[in-house]
Amino acid sequence: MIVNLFFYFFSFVLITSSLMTVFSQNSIYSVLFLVLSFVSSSSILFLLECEYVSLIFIIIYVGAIAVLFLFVVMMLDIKTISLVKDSLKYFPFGSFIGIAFLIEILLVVPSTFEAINPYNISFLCNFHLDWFNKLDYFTEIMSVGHLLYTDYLIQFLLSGNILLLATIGPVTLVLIRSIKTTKKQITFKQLSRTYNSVLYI
Amino acid sequence: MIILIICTVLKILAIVVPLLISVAYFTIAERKIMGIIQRRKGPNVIGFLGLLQPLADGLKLFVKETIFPSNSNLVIFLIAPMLTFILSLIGWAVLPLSKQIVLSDLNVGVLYLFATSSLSVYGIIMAGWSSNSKYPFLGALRSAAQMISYEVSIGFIIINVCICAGSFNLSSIVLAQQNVWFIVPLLPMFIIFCVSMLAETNRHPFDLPEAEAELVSGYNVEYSAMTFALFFLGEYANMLLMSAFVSILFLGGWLPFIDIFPFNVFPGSLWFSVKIALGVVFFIVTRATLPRYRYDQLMYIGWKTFLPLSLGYLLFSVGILISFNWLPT
Repeated sequence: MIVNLFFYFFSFVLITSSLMTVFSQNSIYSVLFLVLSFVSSSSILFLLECEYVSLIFIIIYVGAIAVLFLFVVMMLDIKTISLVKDSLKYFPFGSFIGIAFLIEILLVVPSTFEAINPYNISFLCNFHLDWFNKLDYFTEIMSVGHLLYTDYLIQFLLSGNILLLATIGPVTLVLIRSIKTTKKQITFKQLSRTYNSVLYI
Repeated sequence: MIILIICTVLKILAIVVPLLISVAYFTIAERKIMGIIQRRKGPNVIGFLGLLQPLADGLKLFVKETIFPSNSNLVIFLIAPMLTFILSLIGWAVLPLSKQIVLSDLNVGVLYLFATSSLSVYGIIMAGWSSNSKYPFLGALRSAAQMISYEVSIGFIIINVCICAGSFNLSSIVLAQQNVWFIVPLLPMFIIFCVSMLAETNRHPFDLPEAEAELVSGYNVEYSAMTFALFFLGEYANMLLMSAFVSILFLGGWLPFIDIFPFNVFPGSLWFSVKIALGVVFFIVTRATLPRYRYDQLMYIGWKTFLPLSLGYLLFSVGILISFNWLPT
């Protein structure tokens, strides 16, 4: 009962905040609504008892990526732009992507999700009857780990390599090659100065 | 249904009300201990030995006039202190105060605490931006950059502890320390965690977000009365939360010092509160003794010293655990 109420509440918040992300004129508001939609979607995941995924979602997307978005948007001096002209400019491309994603979801969900999803039987988990899962305790992190390190090992390693490349790229971009031109504090040099080596004026 | 709601609210109040009282007495402890360090008396007028001083301060902040700057963005300006306050309170939902005494024994309690502490950047950024003034904006930018960069090394340290304990659950992390507290094998991580904890809560010597000499008071310049009080309470509750977290991760949570007769008759919550009080004293003594860091030095320590060191220690401890086959199942 309460779980149902919370589900409806969070999905309402999710839908309204994602709509407001698109339609709000102030870009700071857009980012804040984006954060709100992240948080509400991870709360829905929490209600479905996927604690690990939902908390990782918050830590990565809200705690790291959206903060950087907010940073950039705050630093840039973006004036509020006219809504109609701007949305019409991006309308064909955006609607194409949106429809493609919708079709993908509609194709994927009935075929793979229906069979294993216990929430499909009764609208949300009916965990008075589902006592066997409660006894046979197998936490979510363990199941994720079992899948990642056995069935999807190659994909896991590949994604790790891609992330490593993605970190090396920015480092090479900002690497300063001529050190002499930049002013740097060398702490140990500063600390190892003795009384005799100090220049008196 | 109604009884369930009432019970839940009572449980939450049983955690929040003592927390707020301890925040109030944290402030007076800070003023008293700093007074002792600087050889003066500290507050000693209101009540016996000045013990009612925090209540008087709270009353003063409560009856003052709340000023809203006319150019501020009022909605975000009001949401920011509430967000900071709420985020500092909800972390306590997963902390085990003693054996079996916990509001919600989450399987991923460590991740929950980490997520709430990473969310608390938003309160500060929103406060700085919505004030529409230069000092708060600079303070908020500094604070956000600082908190993000120290979160990385904190994350690695937490992973290190979780690998040694074999669980993300806070209770089982404490129970894994029954033989030896994690401060012994992970001493360098403990020191790094203590320093990162100071930076994460924006305390001295890393209090650049509210550096009085440069930025007046940082992100909360424009706040007054109750809105300021919410920031203040949130900051101090965060400090208590971090001391509780460090005592769970490294100092064995509710476990007694040694598990022999005179020590193990005391309840676990007493030991836990003693450890939290030790963390509080650490916060206060560092504030009173150390000078403030420069901002580039702060970033240098965070990214070039702590991050490689914690990463290296993670690899080292994992290597030892694997090679001796000590990994907890």
